[in-house]
Amino acid sequence: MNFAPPAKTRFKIFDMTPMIDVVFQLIIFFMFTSQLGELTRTDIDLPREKGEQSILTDKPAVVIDLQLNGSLFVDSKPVSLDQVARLVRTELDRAESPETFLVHVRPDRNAMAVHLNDLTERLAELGVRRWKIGTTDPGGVGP
Amino acid sequence: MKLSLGDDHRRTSRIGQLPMTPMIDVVFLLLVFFLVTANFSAPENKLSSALQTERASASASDLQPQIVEVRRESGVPTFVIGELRTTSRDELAALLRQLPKEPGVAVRVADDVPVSMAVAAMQAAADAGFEKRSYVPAKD
Repeated sequence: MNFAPPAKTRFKIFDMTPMIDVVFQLIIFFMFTSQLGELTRTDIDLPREKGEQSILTDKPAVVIDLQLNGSLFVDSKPVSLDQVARLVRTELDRAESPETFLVHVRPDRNAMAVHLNDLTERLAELGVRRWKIGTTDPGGVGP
Repeated sequence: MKLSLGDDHRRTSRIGQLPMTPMIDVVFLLLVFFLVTANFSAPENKLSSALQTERASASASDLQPQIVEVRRESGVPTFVIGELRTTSRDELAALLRQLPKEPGVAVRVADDVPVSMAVAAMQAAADAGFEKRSYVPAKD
């Protein structure tokens, strides 16, 4: 018969499993929350252009979605042109300089330019000088 | 009669049993996470330009650069440079390549053309090598 006490190794084993579980959960949480900015974009049929080859490192202060019917969205919420103007003015005041301030407009390719013109004219009146248009890879499809 | 199987067997089983359940849990969580956050839509590109208006805030000299007009002629969205007219983006790019790049180019867009035509003109200017590109909303 074996009356020996249980192996000491049983007490020496440090159980890493809960810690690994928690660490992975934290990693998943932070990765998920960091992606939310991308997920809140409205689904828009962007102009099918290849855009610029140079990589733009500046992060836009405001991203404005322009739908087919001319309605505007910021962070997936419908906004009026006046609300956009207020938001841009607030962000512009926070910016270090107007030269570094950048607005990103994501227009629907089939929308009439009158909506884009109204928006850009308002942005220019507010002092915005730099903006960029969102496009999507044509993938062989031309206008 | 059940007898002790001996230390050797117990030690082997203790070492050999690697708990797989937590690892499978984590792997499934990661799998679910990447499936949820995966972006299956086409990647977005960007086309940058300056903004200009035709009102008093923009001086006349701002509009000195070569102007590409995007407007509707006989019901068809058309690119116009001076007296030249085309509906083809490739032809527009070819025309723009012949122009000097230093003054830059202004794309003047009428209200009644689709956004895709305006962006096509901006893209043609970028493809032609213009660093200075301005978007000018044309208000009638």
